[in-house]
Amino acid sequence: MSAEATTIRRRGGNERKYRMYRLQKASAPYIFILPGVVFYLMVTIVPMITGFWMSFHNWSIIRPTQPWVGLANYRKLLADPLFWTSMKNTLTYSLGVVPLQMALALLVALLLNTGIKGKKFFRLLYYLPVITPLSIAAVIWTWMYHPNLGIFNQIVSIIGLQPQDWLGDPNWAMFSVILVAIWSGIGYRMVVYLAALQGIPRAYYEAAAIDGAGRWDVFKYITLPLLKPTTLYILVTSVISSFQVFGLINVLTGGGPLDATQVVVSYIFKRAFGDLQFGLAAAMSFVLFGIILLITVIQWKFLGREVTYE
Amino acid sequence: MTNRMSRYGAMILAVVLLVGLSCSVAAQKKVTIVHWQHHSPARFEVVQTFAEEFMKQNPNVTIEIESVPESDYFQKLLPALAAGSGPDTFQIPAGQVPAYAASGVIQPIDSRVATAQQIEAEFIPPAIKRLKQGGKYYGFPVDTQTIVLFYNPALFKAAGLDPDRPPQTWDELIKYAQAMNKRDDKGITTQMGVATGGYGPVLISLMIQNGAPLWDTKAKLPDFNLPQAIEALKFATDLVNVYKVEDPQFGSRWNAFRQEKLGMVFAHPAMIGSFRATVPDLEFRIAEVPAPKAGGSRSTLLTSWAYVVSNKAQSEICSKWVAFMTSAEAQKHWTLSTGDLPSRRALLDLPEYKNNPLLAPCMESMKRSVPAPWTTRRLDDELIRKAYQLVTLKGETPAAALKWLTTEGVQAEKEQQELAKP
Repeated sequence: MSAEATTIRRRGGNERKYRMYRLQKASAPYIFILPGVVFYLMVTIVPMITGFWMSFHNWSIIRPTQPWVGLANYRKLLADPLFWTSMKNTLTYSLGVVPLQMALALLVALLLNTGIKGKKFFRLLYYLPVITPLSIAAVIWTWMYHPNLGIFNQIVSIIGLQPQDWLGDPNWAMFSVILVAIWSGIGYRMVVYLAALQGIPRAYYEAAAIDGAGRWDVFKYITLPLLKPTTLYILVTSVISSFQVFGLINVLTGGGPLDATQVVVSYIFKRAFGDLQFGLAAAMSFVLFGIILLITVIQWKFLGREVTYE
Repeated sequence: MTNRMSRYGAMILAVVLLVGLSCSVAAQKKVTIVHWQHHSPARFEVVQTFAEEFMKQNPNVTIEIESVPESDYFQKLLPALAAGSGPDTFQIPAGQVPAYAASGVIQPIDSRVATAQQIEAEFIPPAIKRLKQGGKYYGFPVDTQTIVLFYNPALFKAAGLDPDRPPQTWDELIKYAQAMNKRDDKGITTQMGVATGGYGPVLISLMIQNGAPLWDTKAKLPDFNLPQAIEALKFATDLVNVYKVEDPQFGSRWNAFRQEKLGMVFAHPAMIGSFRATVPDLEFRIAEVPAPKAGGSRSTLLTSWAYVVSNKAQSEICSKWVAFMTSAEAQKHWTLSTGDLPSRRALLDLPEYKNNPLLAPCMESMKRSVPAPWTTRRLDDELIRKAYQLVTLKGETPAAALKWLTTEGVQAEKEQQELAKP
């Protein structure tokens, strides 16, 4: 065999190796993310597509054949007053919980970011509701709201106001649920804000101090703008989770009295698993999805511009 | 020739023996029955006892019981049935049997275990009415309950009432409740006369007692726009709004009764077990519900679940297992342990029940009981409770509330009837 042929074969061998190397390099990231992608497809994308398909059928989970009904489920939900009541209640809940929860979480984070004594104890105290099981929290709050024995009515009686049936009166039930939701969610948001506050470089504050800025100016022109990405994150996730509230309302009021605390997700659950109307429930889920998506896009559009101080 | 014949004979014998052996092996083949039901500690214990006994009698059978909390029960059962990985036997509300049967996820009770005629001869009609589809029974009744009146004799005595003479009419009930009701100087209830809790089966029972059929036989749909139903709802809501002998702000009626702060409460007989388990020293008595007027009806709503067999399960052995859990012996056990009422005709007049002051009125109420004519579960409690709250919380008239209830009930029933179409 000539030396030339050997060289070509060797070169050919190297090319194969090189091609293999390039292929491996190109495919390795996909192989690594493959399990995650498969899992995500399995638990999110496939159910979403199936759910969308279901929404066009009179779908009963136990029936072997599911008749196609086109847009009938969407028309039915548009004409369902209870769906719109639950949507209105969800909006009330969201507007009641999110702004107050965020403001209080920021306030607590600002206080705990100072040299206050017992800082660790207070952080623990505010975070405790986050790790308290919902069912236990609900029992405690139910007792606090008890019309005859609860602490709330003891307090309102002392200040001369009329005792209320906090969870049993349609006029007060949503307010009472919002209060519990705020209490249970401050801790998590406080921790996120605290981490963001500690990430703001001291140099900005020192420069502001040299320029003679007051506390309010420092907060308004340095802290708040630099917290904007964090605020956006908390706002988006809080709004989404407030639209998806279920467990808290389920254990506190079950949606009552007289649907005063009936929210969209609990209504969807009831229509699906209580009445076996899975097609209708799927249509409701997609309407809810559209609303959440729209609100999130609006939030990004108006608050999503990143702030940097060069 | 003889040799050939004996060879053939030996071969036939061998084949027969082999077939027989394989059949016997198949008969002895291990069978596992997966049984699901919603959880309560007492019920779980009872079914476990049954399973042990059944496995003793059928050594080739293993029963695996899964007791699922009621709040998660359907969330778990329905997807499992849809995926074909559900249990072999399970319980569902009796009203939902037509929908499940039409969908094909459950199978009729195996006729080798019990024929339709046998079931009809052995069980009282209201307990099995909702279990029949196309001439076949799809389950056995369980958790059968009526409505009775629990009362506290000590509070009766303290109010100058005779504990041996519980109220006989609705008017008497109001008078008794007024005698026991107490409020402090601020007007806060400290002891309550009576409680219905606005509970659906109680309200429906009052309407049934008052002669309301609650069903439009022509349209085959629920109908609450009836003077008798309006009068019954008025009676229940007047206890809160007019006579003020029931105070929704008093908190849980069960806790109030346990703490001897409630004179009378309408409840399912199953509360016997609950009261005994939680407050063993509590002295209470039971009476049939008072009639609307002297000599009137004491019929109440019969609510029940059904033990059913999945379509993929082995028909005979699984039917045998659900029949075992609802046999006469089993029903006696249920009554003693959980307060579930027997639905077998032969048991209702047993001397041991007739002579038991707590159980005797329950058995009488069982004999008079009436099943709901509809199949939707929403009418059993959720919707009727809302109608009650429309009157007690929003001040609407009973007639307006029942008009709303009829509209909602018709829609809910139509949805269930649609599901029950084959």
